Amino acid sequence: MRSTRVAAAAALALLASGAAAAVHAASPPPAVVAPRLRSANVPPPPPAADGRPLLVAAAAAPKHVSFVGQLSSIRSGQTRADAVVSKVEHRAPDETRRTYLTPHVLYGQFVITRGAMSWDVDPANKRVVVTENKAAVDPVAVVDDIALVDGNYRAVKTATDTVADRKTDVVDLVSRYTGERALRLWIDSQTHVVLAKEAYHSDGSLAWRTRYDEIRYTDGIPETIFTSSVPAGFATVKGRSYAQPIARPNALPAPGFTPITPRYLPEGFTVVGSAVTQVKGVQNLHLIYSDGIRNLSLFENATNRAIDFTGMNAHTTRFENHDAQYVHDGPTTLLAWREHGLAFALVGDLDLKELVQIATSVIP
Amino acid sequence: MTTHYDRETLIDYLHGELDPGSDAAVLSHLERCAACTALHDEEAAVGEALRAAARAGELEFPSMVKARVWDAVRREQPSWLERLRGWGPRLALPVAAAIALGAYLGAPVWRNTVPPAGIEAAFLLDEHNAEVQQNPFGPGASPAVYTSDPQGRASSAASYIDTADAATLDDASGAFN
Repeated sequence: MRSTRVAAAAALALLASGAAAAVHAASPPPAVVAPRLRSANVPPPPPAADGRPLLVAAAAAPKHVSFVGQLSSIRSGQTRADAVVSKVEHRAPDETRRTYLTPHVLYGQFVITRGAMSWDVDPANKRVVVTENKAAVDPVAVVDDIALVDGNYRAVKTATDTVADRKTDVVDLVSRYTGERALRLWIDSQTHVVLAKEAYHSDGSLAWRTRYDEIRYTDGIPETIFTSSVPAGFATVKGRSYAQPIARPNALPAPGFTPITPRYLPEGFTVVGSAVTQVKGVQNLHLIYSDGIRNLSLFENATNRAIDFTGMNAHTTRFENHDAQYVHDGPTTLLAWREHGLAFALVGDLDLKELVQIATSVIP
Repeated sequence: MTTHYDRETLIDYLHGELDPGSDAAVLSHLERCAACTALHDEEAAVGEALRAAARAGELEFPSMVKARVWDAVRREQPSWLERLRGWGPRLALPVAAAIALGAYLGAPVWRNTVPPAGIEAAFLLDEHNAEVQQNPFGPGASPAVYTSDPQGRASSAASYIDTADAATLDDASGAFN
């Protein structure tokens, strides 16, 4: 999809003009062209309910608005939900400090993001993990993301609500294939900052949620809190780098064996990236798929070694004469199996049944 | 008028095949009725005579056959396991100690033959979540946790915490169930 420049260009136009349309609420929403992904069976929403301008405005809002708030995140698992609470200080256009308040294991840890780079300061382990962000490195990627979402989901403004004492527009992202609501956004009616998000499983249950408990818009955030200097005595650890190893989907990296891709993917999913990483001396291929909201990862390597589930409560299952193992991690499920000397693992916020269906189509 | 029991009922009584109520009634009747008692004793005597005849009719193995069987038994050599079994508890402790010692000393050899474990599931979850967090419509950034990469590379993985906790919880819920 990322190579679909037409869709990206259309979304870019939407990003430019649609944001203005949403902010000023004057001009009608521009048309978005994503012909290869659009289902002809789903009629476009009436202009009054079209949530696309709000979506684009929301993506652009952090570039123009500074704020301080407290954010709660919940990830729903099989038997319980896990919560993370953090203080977020954002200084437009691209400086953010996120300080974790709970759970206890994260207390005191903070992440500073400045442009493309992030410094994850971990006082407990006395280290700073430096990572590179995708969006800042490649602004077109954000446009691609919006185009992908628009191709697979219909953005519908469904209501108004109040979050953190702010009036919000509620936008539902409804699958163009199944008609199911996958994501709901609460977008500040005035600033267009996304104040809350909820993602849902295919059965309608909550997968995860983020929500600002309080937020204050201010231009008075001091620059000093975004300093990236490494505290004395802290080790610097190199984290992910977007430039490498993540590659464009059309430029599949060489993992040292013939990559196997699934013959079946749920509707709307398309490959959006790939990477090869060295783990324990093993070339590990990571194929990344997305439908704009949900991500799916297929890992494969040529070691024929079983995935190590140490410390996890792994379950066994069987499909197509393969003994497989899976583990739930909040809303995410990891399914691992081996075949013809290759070790595979599928990871995603999909039902086990769907993952098995995809796994069955991975034929070496 | 006294009611007597017929022969069939008395035979069933002798074989204990009457229901408890009938059994008690017959017993009570026999204590008072000489005719039925005579019939009962007659049937009992017949039964005893038949059993005696059956015992008398049992054929003894010819002595030569018995001799050949015993000869074959004597020629059969016990296995080493049967011989050891004969030593019983006298050997159990030293053998157990030898097995334990062998297991301790042999473990490194076995370890070399077991294929090494593959990539950690936590690392794969971490890699996946790092991608999810790049998605502007995803749940947002999480802090770095995963550290077991031998190259010292680390990335974002709040899920690692969730996984460890979830494993504990699942175990707990399993125990509860």
